[in-house]
Amino acid sequence: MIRSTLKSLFLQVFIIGFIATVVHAEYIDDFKKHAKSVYLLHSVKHITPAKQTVVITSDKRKIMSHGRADSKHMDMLSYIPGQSFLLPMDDIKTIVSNIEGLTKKNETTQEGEEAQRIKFDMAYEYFLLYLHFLNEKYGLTRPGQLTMVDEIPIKNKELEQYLFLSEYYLKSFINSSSGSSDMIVQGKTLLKATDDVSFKFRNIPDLYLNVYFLSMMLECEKLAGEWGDISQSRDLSNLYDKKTWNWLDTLWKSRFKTNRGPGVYAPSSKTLFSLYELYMRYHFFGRYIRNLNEKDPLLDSQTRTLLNRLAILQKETGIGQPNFYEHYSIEATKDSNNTNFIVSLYLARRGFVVTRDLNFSLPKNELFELYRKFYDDAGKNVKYNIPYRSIIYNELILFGVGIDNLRLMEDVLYQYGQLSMRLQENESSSGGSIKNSSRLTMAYLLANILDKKRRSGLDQNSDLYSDIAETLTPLLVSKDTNYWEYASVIHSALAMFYSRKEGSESLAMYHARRSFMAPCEKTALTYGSEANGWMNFFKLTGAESYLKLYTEFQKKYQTSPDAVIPKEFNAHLILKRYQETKK
Amino acid sequence: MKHPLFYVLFIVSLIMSVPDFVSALTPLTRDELQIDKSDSQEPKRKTPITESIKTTNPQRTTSEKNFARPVPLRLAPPADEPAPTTWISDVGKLYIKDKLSDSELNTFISILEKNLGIQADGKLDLIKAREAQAALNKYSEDPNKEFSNIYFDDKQNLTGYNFIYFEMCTVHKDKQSPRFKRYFENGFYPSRNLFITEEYYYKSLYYYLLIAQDGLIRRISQAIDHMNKKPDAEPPFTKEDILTFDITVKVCAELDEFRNKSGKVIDSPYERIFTKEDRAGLNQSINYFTNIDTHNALFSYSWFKANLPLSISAQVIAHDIRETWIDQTMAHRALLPLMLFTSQGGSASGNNLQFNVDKLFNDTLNTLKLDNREVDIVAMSALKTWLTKQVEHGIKVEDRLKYKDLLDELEVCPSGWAFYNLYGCRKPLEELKQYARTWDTYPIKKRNEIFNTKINAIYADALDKINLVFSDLEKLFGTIQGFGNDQNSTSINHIFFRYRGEINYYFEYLQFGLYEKNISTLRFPLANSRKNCLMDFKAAFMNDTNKRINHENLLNAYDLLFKELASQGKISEIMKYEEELESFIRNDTYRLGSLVNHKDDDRYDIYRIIANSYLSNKQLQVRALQVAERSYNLARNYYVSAASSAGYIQGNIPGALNNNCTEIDDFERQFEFYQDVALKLGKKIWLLLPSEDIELYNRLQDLRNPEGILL
Repeated sequence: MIRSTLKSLFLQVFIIGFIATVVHAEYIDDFKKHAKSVYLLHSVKHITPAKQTVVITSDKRKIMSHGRADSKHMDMLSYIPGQSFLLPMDDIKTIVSNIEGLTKKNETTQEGEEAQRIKFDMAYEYFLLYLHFLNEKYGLTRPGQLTMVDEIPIKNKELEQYLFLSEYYLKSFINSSSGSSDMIVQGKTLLKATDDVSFKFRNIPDLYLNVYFLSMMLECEKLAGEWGDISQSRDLSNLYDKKTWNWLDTLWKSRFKTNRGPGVYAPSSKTLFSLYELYMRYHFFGRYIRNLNEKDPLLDSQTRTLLNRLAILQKETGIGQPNFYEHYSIEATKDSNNTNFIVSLYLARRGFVVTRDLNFSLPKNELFELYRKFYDDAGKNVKYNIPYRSIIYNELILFGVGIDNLRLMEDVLYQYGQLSMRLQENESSSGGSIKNSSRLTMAYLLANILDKKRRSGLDQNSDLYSDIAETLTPLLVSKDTNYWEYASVIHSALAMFYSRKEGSESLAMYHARRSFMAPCEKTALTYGSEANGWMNFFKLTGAESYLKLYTEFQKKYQTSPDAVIPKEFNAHLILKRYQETKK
Repeated sequence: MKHPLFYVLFIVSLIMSVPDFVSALTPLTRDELQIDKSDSQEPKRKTPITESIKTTNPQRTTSEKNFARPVPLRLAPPADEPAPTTWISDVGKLYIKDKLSDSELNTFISILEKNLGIQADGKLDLIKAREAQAALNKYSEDPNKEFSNIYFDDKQNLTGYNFIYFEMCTVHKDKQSPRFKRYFENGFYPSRNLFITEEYYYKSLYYYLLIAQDGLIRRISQAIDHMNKKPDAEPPFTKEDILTFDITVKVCAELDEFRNKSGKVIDSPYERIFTKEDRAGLNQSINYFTNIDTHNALFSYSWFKANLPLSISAQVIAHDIRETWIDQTMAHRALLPLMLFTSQGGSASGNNLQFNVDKLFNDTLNTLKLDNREVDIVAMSALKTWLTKQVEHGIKVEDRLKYKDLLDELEVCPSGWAFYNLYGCRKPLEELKQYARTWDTYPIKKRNEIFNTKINAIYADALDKINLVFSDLEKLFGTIQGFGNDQNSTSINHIFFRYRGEINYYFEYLQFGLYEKNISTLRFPLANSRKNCLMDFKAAFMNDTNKRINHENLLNAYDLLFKELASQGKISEIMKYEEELESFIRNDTYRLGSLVNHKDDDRYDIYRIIANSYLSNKQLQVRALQVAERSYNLARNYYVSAASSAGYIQGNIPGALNNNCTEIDDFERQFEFYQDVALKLGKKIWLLLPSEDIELYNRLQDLRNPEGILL
């Protein structure tokens, strides 16, 4: 009777789940098709509830966290530049009232400079309108959206229309110079006078935007969201990208001209930085969606120049994450000056923040899959410095572990860990630090997997990992690194696994001993020369719990050879001291 | 040779016998006639149309049944027929005279009436009118016309000749105004599509207003005076007066449209046709007769409400709404993608292009108060268009969602009256919900006070309105009896039941909160009141099981019901309702609770109440265990899905989750509850559940315990 009701209940859950997934699957497909620019470009921290960013637990529930230094580094790498002040898309009321005002003006204004400026402003505002509604539709989570009760009433057709209108108003500037696609004359870039069409927008003083800059962003959005006719967008976005770069290049150079004429536009460092940053985002995004994988040394050097200038400007202005662009400009040289990989990597790193701090209406597993693709691409695009791939895979693992999904860690990330380690196997001393980093990452993953399996009780096959655990332990307990706790966690998890398994008492005791010995050895290595250096054992956070485990197993498996009190690393002193304090 | 002719005659006489078709068919038959005439080698080309029609005319009256008999056309024209154009010049000559004697005036009028087809009862003979039209056209194009005058030539068409008829009547209005009104109301205006809408047409309308409105306003005030004195008596307002009122309103609306249309142009035709003085008078009449307030005021008298045709005010409202919409489309040309509604109404910027959506909405909504089916059609379709526009082009997404709700409601409302009242329920219902949300925070004394001072009134208000909705629904769908059963409830949308259910539920909920623990001793058990909301929620739920709100509501209602039944100790009732609830949950078409979020699921609560009630009864203790088991399984299912979405699952077995989530809490709580109930019956939990479940529970407990071995 109980069985049958259970069965029917299971069936119900299954059916309901199935219906929900069908509805959801449609949404996910839609999201993947149209929302690329949202999750790759525009997702920024909105007003995040203070609680959600940091999960404060009683430290007991969730002990494994990555070493502090590394997570800081990752935070730096995955830094998301906030919403650019060049594209203020949040204030819908201003956008709409601007459009209204411009429409009225447009009807009364005759041809001329004023009319052109109005047209450009219209194109700009409609572009903002598009961005606003795109983000409203895909970027934010509303109550009811997760459960698919309410559909957000923004139709794709509407978004398409805004983009179309923006394009319509831009057309008049682009058409006049459409014949200038033959930009390169005798190896030199020919900059036609008509190419440099910039307008003040929204009447902001000292702020100009090039027509091609806007067109580039527009074509990228069109291509990414598959809006309207995109047969031309691939080529056009590329062409406009180059023209935009020319414009930005001119702006950069004019900074250093001492005697520039009165009519030359020279933006402030802050403005220039924002222009360059916005360009970089769309440039990378455009390269990804165009999927141009050909080798282009010019492009590579352009990318490096771009990152260099950004680094310089950032130092000058002090905006945003310090060292961010400096790091990127160094990283860009890692693969023999090939920069394709850094494009995917830049986009992929956004996943960190997106899954951790933002509320997308997509389950985290789905989000992981989206960003994983970019890590994969980045890995594949590293063409010359193959070992550098493991840096990328390591990052992917760190990213994935943060999602806290056991199935994901075991089924997906473990494979990446193995791949990353294998890449380093034959590396000589030069790749030493990378080698260690991929082994440490594996240890981190392993510690997480085993610990989570142990806690959740899903530890049926934990012994699969015992071999690799054994090989990693020496690295973890060494003088240079501070990762002894990974070793302890791994061994204590294995000890408990074997203690539950019949006929494995000796293995259980063995691993309990190893988990206790790790902090002992660490203490000895660090304070070995000092008198009573072993006392520092009790200062290591968490070390005592492995000691406790050891003593408990000692009582449990008295006959095992590993139950004998060990003498190395002053372990016997530590045990003695522990027993004394307990009394 | 005779056959084509025969057919022509057939068609012609057919048309004659059905005068309504004439306007639609004449052009065609005329052509055919002409072709036919040339076929029959008739050399006489002068005024062929007039002649041919005239010849067939007598046939219609004389020999209906013989009409199939071919009659040769050339035999038809009587010899004593005067030359067809003489009357035109005669009228012209009379018209330009400064002053007409009585006999001249009579001749003038009678010639016109005869030739324009104006009949004694004021109706228009369409055939004659068309003959006159043709004759006038021909005459005006004739270079050698018999009579010509610069003031007269532009009137040589049907509209112009009708105008001079009206003009002459207006000049002699002390005697001729009945004639004018008679013709205008019965003949001219009903067949106004005959006339060209140009200067003389609008002038004719204007003359009508001059003639008619003074009398009309006097009649209306007389009637009102009469009714104020004797409310039950029949007021002196005749059928003719009603007709005049109807036509006046229509004429005003038409002139208003003309005024608006030409108002924006620089050389406005409206200003060209009417002098400044004319315009002042016109504007006044238009404002009076097309104002919705005038109609509302009239409808406040029951006699008018019963006797005035609804179409008159529908006309006004349609006119009003259309006008608003014209303004709007002017303001928001198709270029603009979004609706630029602002909340200030644009007064700050001095910009009248912006609209206040709430005001517009409420204005239109108020027209539904008339409870007038014809108004409903206009107003509701306007509201629908608007709400759809808002949903598709609203600036804020929140607004779009809000208006989508409203649109859904509007679309299921069969009448404007129902929507008007349903909309009225929103506010009181929202207030009730607001109180329910904060009810726990008030002390009992405060609750009593609020309940007596505020909630009773809000509830009465809401109940009044929802009852009006249902009475309207009953008028349309017949009595809604036995709601809650499968039959009958299907034709009425769940939204109505949901509203009524929620109003009753929240009232009950608030009332229940007045007693708290003392409910069994203090509250007098009411007969059926608590079941009202349950019935409604059931009906709503069965009508639409795909809405989450319906699941939530029904479970809420059961929760409240079981609480009350348990406090009164009505075990048998509890059993009855428990079976009902279970049948909803198990039924494959309903699957009650399947759409509910686990946090909003009331079922744990319900099961706990039921199980506790059963426990007190020896015979029912086994049933208590079953209920506890159900509640445990529910929690387990939620837990399994939470664990599997977090990836903590291997095969079918869920692992213990590490983080804090309510699924864990519920699982533990329901496990413990099951254990407790089992213990009371002397059973051990580990004999009732599979070992994996026991282990999972222990593991979760251990994870909670700071000293647990797992940490």
